[in-house]
Amino acid sequence: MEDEIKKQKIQSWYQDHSNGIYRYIFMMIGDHEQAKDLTQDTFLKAYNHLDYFQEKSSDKNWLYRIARNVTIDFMRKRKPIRYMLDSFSAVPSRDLSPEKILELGEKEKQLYRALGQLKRSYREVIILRKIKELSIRETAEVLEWKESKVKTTLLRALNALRTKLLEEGYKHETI
Amino acid sequence: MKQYDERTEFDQTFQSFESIQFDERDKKEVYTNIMNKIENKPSKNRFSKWSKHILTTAVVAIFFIVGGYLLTDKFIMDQANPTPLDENKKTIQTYLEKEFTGPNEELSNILDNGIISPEFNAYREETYGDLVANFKNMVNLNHILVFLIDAHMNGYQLNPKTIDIQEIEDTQNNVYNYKVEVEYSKGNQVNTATVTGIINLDENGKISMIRKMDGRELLEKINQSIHTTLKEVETAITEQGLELEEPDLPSGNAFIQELNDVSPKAYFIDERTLSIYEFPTVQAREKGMEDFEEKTATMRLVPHETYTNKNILVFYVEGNEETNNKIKTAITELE
Repeated sequence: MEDEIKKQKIQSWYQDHSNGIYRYIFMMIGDHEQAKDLTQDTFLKAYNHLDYFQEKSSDKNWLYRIARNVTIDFMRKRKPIRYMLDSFSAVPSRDLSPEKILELGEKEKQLYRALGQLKRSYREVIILRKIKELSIRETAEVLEWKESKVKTTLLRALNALRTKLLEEGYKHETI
Repeated sequence: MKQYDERTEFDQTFQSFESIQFDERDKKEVYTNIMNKIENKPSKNRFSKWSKHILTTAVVAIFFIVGGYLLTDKFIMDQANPTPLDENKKTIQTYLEKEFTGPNEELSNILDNGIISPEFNAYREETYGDLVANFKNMVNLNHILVFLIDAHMNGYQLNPKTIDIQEIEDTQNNVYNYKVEVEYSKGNQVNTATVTGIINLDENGKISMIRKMDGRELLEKINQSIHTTLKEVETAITEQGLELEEPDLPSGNAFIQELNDVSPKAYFIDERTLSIYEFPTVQAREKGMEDFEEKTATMRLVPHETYTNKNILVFYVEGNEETNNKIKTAITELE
């Protein structure tokens, strides 16, 4: 593909998806500066691998998949031992909520903290389905899971989240 | 049911995370970095010399075009709108007035023909399109014409008696609390109910999100007139010549679980499970049904019939055709 066309594509994708990609990464790692860097890496990777993009999935799903890989790589490098624990069991991932979460309010802070204590697969399925509002099919594509696995994992993840919140005395309030 | 309420509440809190912004400054900084890195990357293309010049020119051109546009936009917009705060409040005020006034004759006529029509879509888009950042999203999240549809269905007229909009300070975004005292009237009867919520606006002053909206009181009041009781359902079924027997059910039965905070009354008809849910409102029943679908999404359910009417939801499991038809008649005729 011509470099100029590739660049135009990246420019247009950046325009359309950079906010969403940033937010996804930020929700996964809770660090604004790192999320910025990883957003940058995501688009650079997309540019470098654009020749391999086969348009089997949508460009948005492809970008989220790259963002996910970039984020997981980052988490592995940052804390290799904690990453392993994080993949298998629930351990507190962040003790302090980032500023952007604190600004949103108490409930958001509690929810974010509980989310950070879930294992990674639970956290990502909740972020993609509930916060990014990707469809089941899109989530399945990004995570490279079957749709049925997305459904069951999401239900389990929500149950785990509920348990965590109750343990921490989440204030119940009906709508 | 408590579980369901909590999940609904999570959903609203989840939505709040959507307001986390990638600041414009950071966005531009990352964009420049990406472009610089792309520029400096040695190209494998044999036309690399040419493309490098073209790319550099393009970046410079984009920089000037985008920069020029932003500057012009800022100055022109600043001059035209000296107080964006007032403009934001005005946008919210207009949205709330539209949401809580009427339905007028035009909307009533459209609603009489059902809500799945091109006219209805056109009306919604024309009325709200300019106020919101993402119209489709707003419709999907049920923030458009929620109250007026119910008011129309139940013969009510709505009127916003007072609208109070307050900016929430110490936030980076444009976030406002709102409180509307809504008059709902039918004939000579006039009552009021309060609706509250939080509205976020994007950098262009368009409504980007509505959260923590509490319009339960108003919705319950205007839907009260179409409430059917459990007793009425029981009577309608027995009038069809069916006998409601005491059930003997395992506790794990999917058809007798709590849905949206409501436990059903369960019976046997011909030794098959019949469960009747009496929800407080039609909306609660719809949520109850969603709850059922979500909870049973991964289960293999035995054949069953589902009957709904107004606030009532009924399941009958593995029934024969004759009984199914009788129950269907009983529920349909609950008008």
